[in-house]
Amino acid sequence: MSEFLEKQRTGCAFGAFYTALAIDNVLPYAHSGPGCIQQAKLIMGYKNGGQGPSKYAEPIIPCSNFTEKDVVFGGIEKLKTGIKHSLDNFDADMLVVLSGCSSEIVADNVDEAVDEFSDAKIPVIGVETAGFKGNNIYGHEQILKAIIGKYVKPTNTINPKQVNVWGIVPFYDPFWDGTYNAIEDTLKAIGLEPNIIYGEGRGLKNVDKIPSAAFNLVLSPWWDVEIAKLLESKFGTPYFQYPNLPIGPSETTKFLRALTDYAKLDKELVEAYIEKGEKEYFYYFNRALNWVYDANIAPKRFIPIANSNYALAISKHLVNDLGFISDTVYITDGVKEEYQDVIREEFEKVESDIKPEVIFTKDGGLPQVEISEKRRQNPLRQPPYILGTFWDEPWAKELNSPFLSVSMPLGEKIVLNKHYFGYKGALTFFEDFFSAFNG
Amino acid sequence: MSININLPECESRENRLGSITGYTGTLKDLTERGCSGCLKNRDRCLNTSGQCAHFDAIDQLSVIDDAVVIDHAPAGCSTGHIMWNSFYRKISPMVGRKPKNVIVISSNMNESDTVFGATEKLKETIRFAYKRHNPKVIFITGSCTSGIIAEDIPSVVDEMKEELNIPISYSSCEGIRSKMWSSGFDAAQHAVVKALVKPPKEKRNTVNFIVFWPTIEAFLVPTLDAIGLKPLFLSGFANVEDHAHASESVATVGQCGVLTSYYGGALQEMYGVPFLQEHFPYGVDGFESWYRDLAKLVGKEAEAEAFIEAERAKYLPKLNEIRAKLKGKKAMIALGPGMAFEVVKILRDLGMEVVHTVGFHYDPKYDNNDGKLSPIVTYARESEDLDVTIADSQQHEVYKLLKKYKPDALFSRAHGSNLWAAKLGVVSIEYAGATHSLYSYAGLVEIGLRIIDELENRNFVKLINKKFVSPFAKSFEESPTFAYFEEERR
Repeated sequence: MSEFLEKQRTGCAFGAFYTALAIDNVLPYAHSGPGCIQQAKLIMGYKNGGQGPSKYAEPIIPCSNFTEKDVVFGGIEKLKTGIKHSLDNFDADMLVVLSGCSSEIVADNVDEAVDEFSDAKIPVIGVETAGFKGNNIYGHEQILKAIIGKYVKPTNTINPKQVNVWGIVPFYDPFWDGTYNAIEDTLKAIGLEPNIIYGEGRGLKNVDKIPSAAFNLVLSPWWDVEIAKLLESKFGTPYFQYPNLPIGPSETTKFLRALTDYAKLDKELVEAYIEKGEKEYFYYFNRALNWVYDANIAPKRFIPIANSNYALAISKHLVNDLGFISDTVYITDGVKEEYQDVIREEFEKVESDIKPEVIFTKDGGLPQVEISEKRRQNPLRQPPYILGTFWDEPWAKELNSPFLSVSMPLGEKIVLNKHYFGYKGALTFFEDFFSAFNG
Repeated sequence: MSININLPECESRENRLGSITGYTGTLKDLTERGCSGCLKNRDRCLNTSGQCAHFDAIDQLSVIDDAVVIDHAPAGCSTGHIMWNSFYRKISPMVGRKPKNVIVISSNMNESDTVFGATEKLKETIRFAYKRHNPKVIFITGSCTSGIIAEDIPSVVDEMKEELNIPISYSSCEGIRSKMWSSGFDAAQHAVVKALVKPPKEKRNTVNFIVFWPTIEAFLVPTLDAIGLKPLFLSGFANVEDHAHASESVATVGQCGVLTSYYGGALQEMYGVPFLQEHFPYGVDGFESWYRDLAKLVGKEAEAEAFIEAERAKYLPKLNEIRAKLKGKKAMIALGPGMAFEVVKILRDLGMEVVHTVGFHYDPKYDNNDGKLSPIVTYARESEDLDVTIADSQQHEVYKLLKKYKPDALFSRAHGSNLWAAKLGVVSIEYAGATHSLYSYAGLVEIGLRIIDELENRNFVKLINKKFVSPFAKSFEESPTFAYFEEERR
C-alpha cells in the first residue's frame, strides 16, 4: 500500500498539542517552525467543526519559530529563553513543550532544556512530537505518556467508585467535548464517579486524581488502550475496554450491562436508567417515523470513510438499530497493525448476514477513486449513503450519494457540545443523518 | 538583487528585499530608513506562533487549474491547505464552477527518510500523482525537513520532467527559510513563472491581475472596459494557458504589493510588462492614480477622466454622508503590509482617525528594480505620519497595542488579531471576505456602511469582554508593550 497522503484525515504527531489544550489551563509551547501550529489548527480545529481552544487561541501559543540559523546553531538556547518568558508571561497551570520536525532533526533535546525548569512555579513537561514520527493519535499518546510518566504521582488511595474515562481523542474527534460530558452524566446516573481530564473546569485537579480510580474505562477500539495499559503497570489500575463509542439503543444498553457486570454496579439502578433512556429514545424515534416512511429515499447501503471508532460505532448503530447494510468501510486513522484484526472482528459482529469489506488506508484519495469507479460500472444502482469528512462532500454529491460528515476534518458545520453518544446522542445522529436528504 | 528565474530557488524576502518583521516607530521613520538601507530587524525573546511560507506556497499553487501539488514533507506540513481548499469550493459557484477539491499529495516523509533521504519516494509520489490525476502541471514544494536534510529536489524535477513529459516545477518554500509567510507567494510564483509563462507572441489588450480569487469582476470588468482593456486573472482558477499568456499583457497590477511583487517584477524584468506598483486601487487617491497610470499606458487618458467623473458623481454624495458619520472614530489596523497601508488610506478617506497600524512584515522595496517606490513609501512621503509596528503575527503585541490605543474598531483579517480585539470589547472588522469588496469608490462606500453597522450594534463584543479571562500573567499585563524586543540586528 502506498504511503502517499492525499485528502489527509489525520494531523501529524505535533497536532497533538490539542490534547494539552483540551486540559484546562495547560499551555503548549511549540519548539517548532513558525507554521506547525497553524497547519494543525486548520485541519484539526478550524475546519474540524469550527473548533478552537477557549483560553489559549492558537495564534498566541508561544513558539520558538525555528529558522535556518537555529538549524545551524541548534535551538536549545532559544527554547530555554522561550520557556522562561512563557512561564513569566502566561497564566497557566502547566507548560507542555512539544518538539517539531526541525528541532528533532537537529537533535535539540527538549527534556534537557525542560530539566532546567524543574523548580519553576508550574510543571514543565517535554514531549517529542516530530511529525515524521506518526500521526496526531501517536502524538496524543506521547503527550499523555509524558504527563503520566513525568507529572502524575501515586495517590496511594483508591476511590472504589472513581472511573477515569478514555478513548476519545480531543479535538481530533470534533464531538469530544459533548461526548465526554454525556459519558460523565451517564456514569454518574449509574452510581459511578467519573474522572475526565479534558473540558471545562476539570484540568490538573482531575489529572492528579488519575491513580485513585478503581478502574479505567476505554471507549474505543484502540485509542488510549496503551494509556490504560500504562496506568495498569504504573498504578495497578485495571481497565475495562468497550470496543467503540456506544451509539443508539442496542449498543448503549449492551455497553451499560457489560459495564455493570465488570464494575459490579447496582443492577436495579442501571436497568432503570436503561429503561428511561430507551423509552425516551423510542418516543422521539416514533415521532419521526411518519417522515421516514413518507419521505424516505434513503439508499439501503452505506459506506463510512472515518476513524476506526466512529466507523465502528456508526456501522453498528446503522445496521443493528436502523436496518441499513454496511457495504464497505474505509478506516482512516492509521490503525496500528496489531489492532487491525480486532477491528475487523468487531465489524463481523454487525447483526446482518452481509458483512462489510473493511479497508484500512491512509490514502484519503482512495475512497473517491474506488467508489466513483464502482458507480461508473453500475450507473443504474442507487448510490450508497456516504459518511465521511469535509473532503468527501463534493464528490459524494456529484455521485448523488446522501452525505454526512462524521470524522476529521468534519468541515464547517460548527460543533460545540453536540455528540452522538448513548440514547440521546443517537437522536442527534438521527437528525443529522436524515437531514442530509434535504441538502 | 534581481529576479533570476533560472535559479532553482527564489531568495527569501529578507535576503531579496531587506524585509523585516520587528520594528516599532512611525511610518515616515520606517520608510525613510528602508529607503536609505539602514533598516534593521529586531527579534523577540517571546514569540507566538504564526504562519509559514510553506503554507502560502501550497495554497497558491494548489488552486491553479489542473495542477497537482506534491509536498515533499512529513504528513503535517500540507494539512493546512484544507482552508484554501474550502475557499476554493465556496468560490467555485461564484465563478461558474462545480465545487471540487484541490489536489495536494504529501510524500509523507518518515523518521528513516530523515536519515537516508527520500528522493526515490518523491519520484514514486510524482508517478502516483500523475497516474491518478493526470495533471497538466506538477509543483513540488520543499519543506523544513527536506531542506534540512538537503534533498536534491531540482534533480528529481529534471528527471521526472523527462519521464512524464509535462511541466514540473520546484517551489522552495521551506518554513525555516523566511520569517515572512509571504515568501511563500514568491516561491510559488517563481515555480509558476518558470514552468508556465511563455515568451510573448503578440500583444493583447489584457491586464494581468494578481489576486487570490477572480471574484472582483463586477468592479474590474467595467473599469477596464472603459479604457479598452480586459482582466487576465492570474489567481485561483487560472489555468496553464492563462499563465502562458501573462507576458503578452499591457501591464501587471494586483490586489496588493506583497502578493504582486514577485510575479509582477519577473514579468517586467523578463518580458518588459510594466508592473504598476506605486498605487493600488484603494481609496480615492489610490484608485484615481492607479487608473490614470493604467490608462496612460494605452493612451486612454480622456476616457479614464470621463470614467472617474462618472464614478465620483455616482458615489461621492453617499461617501460624504458616511464620512460625516465616521468622523473622529478611532481605528487600529493589523494586516499584512500590502493591505495594512492601503486600509490606512481607506479609513482616512472615510474620515476615521487611524491610531496605530500593525504590518505583519515590511518590504522596503518591491522586485522590479526600476527605482520606483512602493505604495507605502509614496504614501508616507505625501501624508500625515502614523504610529506603526511591524510584527509577524505576534498577537500578544497586538493585544497590548489594543489595550494601549483603545480604538473604536480593529481592522484585520485571518491571523487571529480580531479575536483579541473582540475579547477586549473592541469592534472587530474582518475587512472583507474572499471577494475583497474594497476597490475604488464602491469599495469605500461598502466598507463605510459596514463600519457604521458594526459600530451601531456592539452587543456581541461587549458580552465577550464582560466574561473575558486573560490568558496572560499579571506581569505581562503590566509590562511595557515592547518589553520582548531584543536589540536591532540584521
